[in-house]
Amino acid sequence: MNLGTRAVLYTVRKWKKTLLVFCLLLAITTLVLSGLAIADAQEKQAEEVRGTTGASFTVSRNTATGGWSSDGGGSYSTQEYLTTDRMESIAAINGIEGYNASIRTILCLSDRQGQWLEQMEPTGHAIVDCQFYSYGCINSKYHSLFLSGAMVMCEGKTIDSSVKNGIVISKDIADKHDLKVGDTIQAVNNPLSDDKTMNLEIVGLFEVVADKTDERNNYNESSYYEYTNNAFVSEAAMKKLLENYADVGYASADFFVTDPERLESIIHEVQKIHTIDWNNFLITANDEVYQNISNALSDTGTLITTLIAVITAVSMVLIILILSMSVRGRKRETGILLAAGISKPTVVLQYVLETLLIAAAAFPLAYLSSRQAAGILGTLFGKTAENVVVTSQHFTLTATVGSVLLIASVLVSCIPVMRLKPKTILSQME
Amino acid sequence: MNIMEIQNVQYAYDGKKKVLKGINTQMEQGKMYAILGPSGCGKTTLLSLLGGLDSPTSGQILYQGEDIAKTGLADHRRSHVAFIFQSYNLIDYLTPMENVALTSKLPPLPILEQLGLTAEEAKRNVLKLSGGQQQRVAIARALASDAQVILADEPTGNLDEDTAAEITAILKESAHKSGKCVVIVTHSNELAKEADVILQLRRGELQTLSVSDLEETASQKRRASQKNQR
Amino acid sequence: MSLWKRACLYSIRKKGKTITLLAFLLVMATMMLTCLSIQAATETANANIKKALLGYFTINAKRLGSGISEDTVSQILAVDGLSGRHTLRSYSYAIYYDADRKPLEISTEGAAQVPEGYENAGKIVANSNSQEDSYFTDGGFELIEGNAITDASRNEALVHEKFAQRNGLAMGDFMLLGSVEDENRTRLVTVTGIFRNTREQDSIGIAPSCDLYENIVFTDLSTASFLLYGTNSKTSVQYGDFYVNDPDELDRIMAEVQEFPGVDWGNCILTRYDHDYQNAKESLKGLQSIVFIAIAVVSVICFLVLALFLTLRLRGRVHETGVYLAMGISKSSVLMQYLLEVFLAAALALLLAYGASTAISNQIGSGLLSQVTAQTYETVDLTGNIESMEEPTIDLGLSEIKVTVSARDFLIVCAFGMVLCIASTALAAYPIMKMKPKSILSQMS
Repeated sequence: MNLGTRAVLYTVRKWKKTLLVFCLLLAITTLVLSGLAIADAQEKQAEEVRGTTGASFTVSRNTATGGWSSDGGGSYSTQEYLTTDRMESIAAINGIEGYNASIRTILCLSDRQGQWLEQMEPTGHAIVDCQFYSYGCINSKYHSLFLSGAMVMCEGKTIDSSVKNGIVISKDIADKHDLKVGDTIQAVNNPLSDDKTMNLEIVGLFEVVADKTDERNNYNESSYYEYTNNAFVSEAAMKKLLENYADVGYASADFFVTDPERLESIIHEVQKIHTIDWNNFLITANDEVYQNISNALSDTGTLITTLIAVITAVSMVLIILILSMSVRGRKRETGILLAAGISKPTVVLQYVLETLLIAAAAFPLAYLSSRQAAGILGTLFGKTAENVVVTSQHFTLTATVGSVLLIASVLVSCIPVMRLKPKTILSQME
Repeated sequence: MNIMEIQNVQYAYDGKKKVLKGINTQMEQGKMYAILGPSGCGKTTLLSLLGGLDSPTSGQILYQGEDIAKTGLADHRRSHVAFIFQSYNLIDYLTPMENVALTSKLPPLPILEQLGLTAEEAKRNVLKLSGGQQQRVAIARALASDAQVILADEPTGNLDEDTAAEITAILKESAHKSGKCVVIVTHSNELAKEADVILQLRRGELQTLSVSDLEETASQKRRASQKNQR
Repeated sequence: MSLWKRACLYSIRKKGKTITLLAFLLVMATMMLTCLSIQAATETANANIKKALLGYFTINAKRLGSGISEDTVSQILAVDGLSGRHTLRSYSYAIYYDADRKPLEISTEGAAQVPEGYENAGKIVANSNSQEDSYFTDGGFELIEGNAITDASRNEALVHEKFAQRNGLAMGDFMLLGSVEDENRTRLVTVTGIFRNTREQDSIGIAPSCDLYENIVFTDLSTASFLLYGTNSKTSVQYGDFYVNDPDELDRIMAEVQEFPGVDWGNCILTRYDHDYQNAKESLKGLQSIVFIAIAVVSVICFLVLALFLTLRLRGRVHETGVYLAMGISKSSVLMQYLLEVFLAAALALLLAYGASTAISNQIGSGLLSQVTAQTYETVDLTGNIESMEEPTIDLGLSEIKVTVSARDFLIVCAFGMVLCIASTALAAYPIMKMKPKSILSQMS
């Protein structure tokens, strides 16, 4: 009888033992597969957390290297501005999620009939009361007022390059003047000059969350306007509104990265863009939130990875223990086979073969069962658990390492039995 | 005096095949009984009924005049009977002394020495003893217990002739000197001949044989086999 | 022979089997203990993340005649759940004089107007840490000489470099800050720092003279409190930002704070700031549930494996059980013996596991960043044109993540392990125990 037949017969006839070892292998393999899937899920999840910190870098003109000029209104820098071309070449770098730059001005807004829109708390001076502090935005979603949570969109959409002549105003102003999303209003920079008056469509409304009366916010020009008297306007429209003014441009732009971990390398890449004279511009990294949590976050990662490593190591030990136990339980059989003149390597090979037979059934089933388990976890834990996916790579890895481990542990478990002489083995039998 | 009594005992496997058809017999302390019979005739079944491992389909088994079904089978097993098996059935992680001490409070070594084991052998791993020595340990275990009835199932089945004779002598001595009631199930005439009472189980019924009956059946068998050879 | 003795003898004589069982239980217990200690550590890490996301609430008491008193501040800081980190702020205007009460000159270039009575006045900003003021963090101010103003500062002032130049002020010089409303309310302060603005002021032409960057003076809270409220020994402030450990508790804490007597809360504005946390909240929860999933999976599979292992072990003892039963030893006594054997091994395994997992935990712990004492943030290569991020590392007061096997965890694993051993032994012994005495003889011979 060849060893293949013997192996198959043992597996079939001793089906209860086979079943037990099978169940053990199945359970342990499922454990390892789930562990690997969890480790991957953790990485995705940590990336997601990092992504929510809104890390960015700011490119601004370097007023220190540019010239200064002054007129009646005070001194101002003559440094060159960030052009659309420059911003686009930066935004094209891989890993940048989006960017925003704003041109600020004070617009006078009126309804379609030319009736001035009044601020929330009018002063009584018509020409002041219709002034709104306005930002011409490339992508208002990334405007710091929205990112900081000072304002939130409550209706409609934000301003981006797809919106040509749009405006976002506060819900309070809209309510005060009976305006809604889709209505058109008029805007002009300086009604006393020949500045262009444009029709703008209200594409969205925002609500104010922050306490604007907190003087902490009063360090720049916008301080003099209540948040409710702010407006966000399409970049294209803003350029037309300000076409009479030569010295208008983007003083700075904020670029948001998908993964803060890559911020540094992205900044290095940005610096390599040779079409921009980096003598005239400064780059500042803004990832304070990420820096604050990065240690704790990577600790969590380390902990989970360790957890999985522990699980895997333990699984290996368990497999070795189980197999050594089952081989040791077959001392008598080994003795009989050896006494019957079957060589030691053949006997060992038979045991290896049996184990592999069981593994061949247990591994694929573990793949299925762990995928099933992931499904159950999905219903229990919702979205997070969806990240816990057992992939075929996990399976290949586990199956390969598992098989090697199985063979090795059978061989190791056989050593004490194989070292004995057939005579000794038989005399040790009951 | 009668220690065990079997009254009209019938036994059927699963209510179908009747192996025991109304058996009546008495057993006394200080005597050795041999139950003979071909394989599958119900010898072992009878032994397990005596040992309280199973209950008869009908009829009663009395121990000291009381129905063991009423006093409790488990109690009967624990306090009245001790088994000896063909394959010795010693606990392999206990020494001979410890095996004897399993169910006894008596010092085990004198009992083992009485049965011919040396003090050194009494402390050895039981698997390293010869078959005869192992069976001696098993008998010692049975003798050391409080049980008055020793039930032996083919106790010499695994042993060579000389050793078998020794074991038989020990069992006999147990009955005669220690006053135990020894019941042996066997198909060996050699062993049966040594018994005080020889019972034969045939077609579900029990007959008492004398030693001469035994020799007669033996010579009948011989003739039959000679006939077959011709 | 008692079942204790039988159990002990089995454990000693069957060394191989006992060692295998011991190893098995040891490995399992170590894994469970390590898992639990890791889980506890991730909870700390999670709490650290929550804390590091800096949720806080601001009390705006500008409209109160007397601001927020020192007592109220300490009362608030005593509320459970506050991290202790807080910023107190006051803003006002003051007339600037030199030490001899001669008015100092302010800049008016680019001012929308010079308000009456403010010809020599400017904005006063007091902050418990001037470096954290929005002018420095968002407005592009930087200190070029001297030190920032902190909680401990008394009668100090930071002035703009151009203001200093214009009035011939240098480090260590004295100047007087006077209330705009009450001429007699003045305080002598020392110039302890000089700052400049790195970005141009965008409100040129809109801002009144007193708000021009050059005319701003940073001072300490005590001085501002004196100018605003006339307090001398105690300091009251206009604003307080109070950071919490767990942003989820902001609502509770804010509600609790507003119960404090003696403050006209109706005239205060309380605002919660936890935008960063809200952004990360869902993802963080996900991270935490991943740990939970891992522990759950480990526990369930541990149970399965242990039950299977003990079954495998007991199946090899059918014969022995038969012998015991035939000898009249009761089933419960035999089962107890088997249980006892497992318990003996389990007790030893648990003790060893405690040591092993503590060692492993220490190893894990030492690899964690939070335990690296010298925290060094890698800063972006500053050669070239990247603006320096020289801000000193803020101490967020995060807890050190300790990976330790707590007594609680150990007890949990012990209890859980014992229950598991009983359950799996009982489960594994069930088929043997179901065995009828009748079949013993047939199995024996």
